[in-house]
Amino acid sequence: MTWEDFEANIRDVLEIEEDIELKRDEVLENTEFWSSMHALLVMAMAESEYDVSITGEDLRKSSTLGNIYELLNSKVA
Amino acid sequence: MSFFSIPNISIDGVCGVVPKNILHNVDYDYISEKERQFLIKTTGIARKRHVDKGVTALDLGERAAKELLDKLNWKKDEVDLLVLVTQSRDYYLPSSAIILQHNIGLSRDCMAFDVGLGCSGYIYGLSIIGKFLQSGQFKKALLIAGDVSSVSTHYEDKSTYPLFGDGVSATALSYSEGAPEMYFDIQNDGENHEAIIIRDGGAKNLFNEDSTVVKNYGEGINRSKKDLELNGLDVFSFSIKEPPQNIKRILERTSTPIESIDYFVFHQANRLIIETIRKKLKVPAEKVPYSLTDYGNTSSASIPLTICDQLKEGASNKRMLLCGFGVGLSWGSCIVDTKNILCLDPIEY
Repeated sequence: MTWEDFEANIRDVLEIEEDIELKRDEVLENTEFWSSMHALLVMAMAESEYDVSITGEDLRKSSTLGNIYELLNSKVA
Repeated sequence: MSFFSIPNISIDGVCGVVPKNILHNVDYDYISEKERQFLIKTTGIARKRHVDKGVTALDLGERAAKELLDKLNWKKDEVDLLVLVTQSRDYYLPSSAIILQHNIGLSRDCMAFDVGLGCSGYIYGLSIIGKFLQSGQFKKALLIAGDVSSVSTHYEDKSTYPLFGDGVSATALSYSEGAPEMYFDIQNDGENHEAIIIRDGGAKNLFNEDSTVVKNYGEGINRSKKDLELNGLDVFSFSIKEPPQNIKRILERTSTPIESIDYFVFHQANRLIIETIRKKLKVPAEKVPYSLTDYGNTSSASIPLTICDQLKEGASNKRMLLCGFGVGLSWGSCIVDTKNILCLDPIEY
């Protein structure tokens, strides 16, 4: 999975406007588009789009979008 | 192994009772309007019902049982077994089912006991009653399943309060020689029992002066130890992973083509969970009914309430897969070929 694919899916699932730049190293909790409910949407996306299970512990350890991208890629592989 | 089949059982009727008080999540002013809209959109839960103070699951269950017995023309002294699945018992002891046996007016010869389960409880209840009925020694039974969760969710806990509604169901089952086998596959994971928990009030942590002290456990989450605690991330992860695997397994074990299932009736936890499961199983949306929009998560009542509210007479002569999952952690599925089921419209208490 490329970053571009991941970014497109994340934008779709979290309904992030195109004019908002997504940075790999931005801390999620500091962004407008992140909350505990958004975390559930990412889990659901991983399960239905990539057939990958993300645990609560996985997400608690992931503070940036880059962390989630790497997590997904490691599980898809 | 908790995979088994039960012959000779007929589900004769289903009834759901909900309180008349409607609480709309759009009015849940503990969180911002933007957050409310997002919550409703994501969970699908627009409103739910709460009992008046002092009304309990026993009251709703009594009403459901009496309505169903009346409409089925069953005599009260014909009921051999009463199983009450609830986590909101009236008392620490005695067993609520025994009080309910009296309140409904059932015979003293009717066996009655509680089963302390939540969202998986309807599947458990069907299997327990089925096992008693299958040999024909017991002829008729009532399964009462549901909870009054409003007594244990704190208004300032956004992870529980807007999700749970009160409701109790009654299901009438009877011995029916030659009825198609019902299949069950039930699983549990006690290692993660703290994922959904009320910490105080049991023998481990007796109710004490600290039990009602409200503390903060994160943004938008204030509660006391007598209140329901739900670890959203862990429960969500469990809910979209284990139930689909369980469903695939029961379909494989019974050589049941997934296309042959007319309806998949899931525990009504929230829309995102159910939709994720549905997509994983590649099931068409029209085969997955929802009642959570109007009633929220009604614990062990959610599957029968969905059958009554959404399928009605369409529940008869169908192959249904029922799947419950939640507190325990506990989950399981049941495949049932129905005949004529009397489904009453949800009744307000």
